[in-house]
Amino acid sequence: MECPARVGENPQVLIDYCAGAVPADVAAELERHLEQCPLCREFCRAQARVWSELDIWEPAAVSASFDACLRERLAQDGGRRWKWIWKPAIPLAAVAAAILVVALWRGPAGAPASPITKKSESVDVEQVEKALEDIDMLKQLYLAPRAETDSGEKL
Amino acid sequence: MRMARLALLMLLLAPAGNFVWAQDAASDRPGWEPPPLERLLNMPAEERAKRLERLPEGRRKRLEELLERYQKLSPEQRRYIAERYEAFRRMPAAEQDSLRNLFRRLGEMPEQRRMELRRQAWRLSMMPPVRRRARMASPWFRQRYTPEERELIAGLARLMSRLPRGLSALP
Amino acid sequence: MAKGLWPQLFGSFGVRKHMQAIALEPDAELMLRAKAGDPASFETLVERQRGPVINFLYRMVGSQAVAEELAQEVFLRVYRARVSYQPSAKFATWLFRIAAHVALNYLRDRKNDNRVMSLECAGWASGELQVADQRLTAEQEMIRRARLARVRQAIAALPAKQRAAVVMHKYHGMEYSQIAAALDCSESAVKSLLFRAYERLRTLLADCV
Repeated sequence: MECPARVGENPQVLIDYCAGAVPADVAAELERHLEQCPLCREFCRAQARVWSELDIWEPAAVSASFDACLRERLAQDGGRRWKWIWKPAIPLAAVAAAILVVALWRGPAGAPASPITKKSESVDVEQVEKALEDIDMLKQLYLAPRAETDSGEKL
Repeated sequence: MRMARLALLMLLLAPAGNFVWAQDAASDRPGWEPPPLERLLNMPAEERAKRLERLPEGRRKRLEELLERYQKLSPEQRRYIAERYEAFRRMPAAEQDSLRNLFRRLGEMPEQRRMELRRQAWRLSMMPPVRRRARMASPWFRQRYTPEERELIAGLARLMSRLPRGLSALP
Repeated sequence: MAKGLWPQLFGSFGVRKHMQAIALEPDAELMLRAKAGDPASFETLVERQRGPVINFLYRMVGSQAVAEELAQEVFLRVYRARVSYQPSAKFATWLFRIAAHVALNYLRDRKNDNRVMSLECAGWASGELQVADQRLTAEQEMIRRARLARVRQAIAALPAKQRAAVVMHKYHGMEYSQIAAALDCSESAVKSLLFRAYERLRTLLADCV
């Protein structure tokens, strides 16, 4: 048998052997080889030690509240999707008609005339300021480091 | 043609209900904003500028900056923030002010330190209270942060834990 | 029609036909029932898979609290995906693909924290509340905790994808083909990942008692 530790770069069969994942005939052949080859013997010894050490790390118990938390999240998710999708707003037909107009007209991308006509309502600028400050605060509290780097924004 | 097919599909589904669609294709807003903000964003640019003109210059510039930053968020990011904003608004007013105050104090720190504290607060906010307290009582934690920083982190973590503990941070 | 709409519109019909055609593994069957609108099936699925998913995530991120949080995200994605689920692969493989994706995304977002994470590992090893093994003497318990801390740090030292491959291979007994499907790479890539990972672990754990 060719020495697995010397053939190619991946003595994968030795890893499989140490994991007990090789057929009996292959295992028998490897064991005959190991008797002769100190390199492979040392490899297997070290690999077996790693596996035995890794066995020490047992998983912790799942917290009692996991299921309840998951149920809550599923319920929220279902509710939120409904809220976003079924919010009483613009009739679908009006929107679809607007899309048809856009598709046929092939106007400049990103600048269609808004199909929604709303009466102009008074805007409480202070309320807007407060909302935007809070939104910005939450965004920065939860901002991922990567996003910070990409956008160049500072806290 | 693809858009026409999509429109046809939506027309077929129309009897099933309503659907919120982006009102402005450029900004691609999902339509969850607080009403005053939504109204402001819905305005034509000239009218929006007129409204903001009435503000003192400093406030006007700040507001324009915040609006610009908000409009740069993707729809996914806005939904993410929406979830937390709605929960934040449901908190008692005193707690909202507390979080704003802690955030202001965080803002006074040097940038690297600020990032470190923010991340630590977020991590702690994900933990159950018992584990969070154990972590903050650990020698490593006490060594790493000054008493003022520990107080700041503890406050932020406690209040952030009241908001939806979604996956990771902002997408 | 938009691609994939017909299977969705006629999902339940497709499910019945599919179930008649092949003998399904239990989890795939539960998933198909969940797809057909049976919430109890989904709950049973969570009960069966919650342990393995959390354990995988725990070893990936090193924190039980974060692992549970990420596991919730995994099951949320599974729940959302039920509408389009097709049992084309072993259910566990499909599930672990989602879990691996969630874990790798989390670790990628945290990668700037490498220095902080390694310090945290030390902190967790010393400050974490651990249940003592009553069968051991005090000295043996100390040695056990030291070895455990070392193992955790060694796993944490692996690049994310190598870590995922080792955890799936060692702790979940997954075959190369399954790991490849979960990590969206070839089998030879998995073998390469495992080889490099175990090589590193052999070095890091060389002096362990």
